[in-house]
Amino acid sequence: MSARPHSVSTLGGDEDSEFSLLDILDHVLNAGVVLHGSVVISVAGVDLVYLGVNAVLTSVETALRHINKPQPLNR
Amino acid sequence: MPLLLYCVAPENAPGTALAGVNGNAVTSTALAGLRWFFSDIEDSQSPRSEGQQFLAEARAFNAVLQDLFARTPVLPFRYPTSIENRDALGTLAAERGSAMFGFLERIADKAQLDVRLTLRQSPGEAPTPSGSDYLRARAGRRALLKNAAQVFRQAAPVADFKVTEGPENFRCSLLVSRSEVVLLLQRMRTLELPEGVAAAVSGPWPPTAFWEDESR
Repeated sequence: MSARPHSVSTLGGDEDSEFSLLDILDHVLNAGVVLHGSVVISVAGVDLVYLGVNAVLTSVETALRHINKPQPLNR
Repeated sequence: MPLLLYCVAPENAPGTALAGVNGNAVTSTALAGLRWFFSDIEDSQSPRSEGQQFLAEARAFNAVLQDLFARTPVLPFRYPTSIENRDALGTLAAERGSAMFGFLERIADKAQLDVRLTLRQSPGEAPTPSGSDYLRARAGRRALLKNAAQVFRQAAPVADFKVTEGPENFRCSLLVSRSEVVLLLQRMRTLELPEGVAAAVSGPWPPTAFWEDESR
């Protein structure tokens, strides 16, 4: 199996390297303590309600695509 | 008044001067041997935001966590987690505080490094002609990712290691000593990976991948 150097990028850990937005969203939305009950979160104008601790609303990548779309005019 | 929860930390944890989500002050209280960090939020500021404001909130939330984590172990709440009032926080502390206390003791000197492994698409890669060829190719790709994951696992002494396998990528979480993070990141930049595999390493993060939610 051939090896290829320099295919590793690192983010964080030093002053000159910030976390990517994807990493930040992935950590704050997908990681950490979850409380039972209902939580309402709105993404791109759509209220999504989920119950429980294991429900997945959307992938972070999908959420980013929705957020960066041009917003519709207010009705 | 509703509270937006950020994280819990050891009771003697220092505070943060950073403004929290939507500019709300981040305060804390000691309960069940822990320090609970939160913001008081008006109903109009409850976490249900859209678009760019949502991204700004997430960034502000993460900034508070990182500021605290630089100086103390923390166990974050998933964003957005809000509870009704301080009485509810007391109930939460009574119910879950013991497990959180034990976790913070276990990871007191630890941090998490994340590795996202993906496969580079070769330009002009020929489509597989049959279903069995597709499955063979897919198995081959996953084998490359597994091998790459092992490269990272063996790169340094880790207290714990977890892999989450996605359809076309792997995510590895390494629990490492905080004092070795800078050295490990430097070392990881020089790792040799299987041909076609790319890795993005990020960290240090609070070790949330190793939090086992006993309430599940």
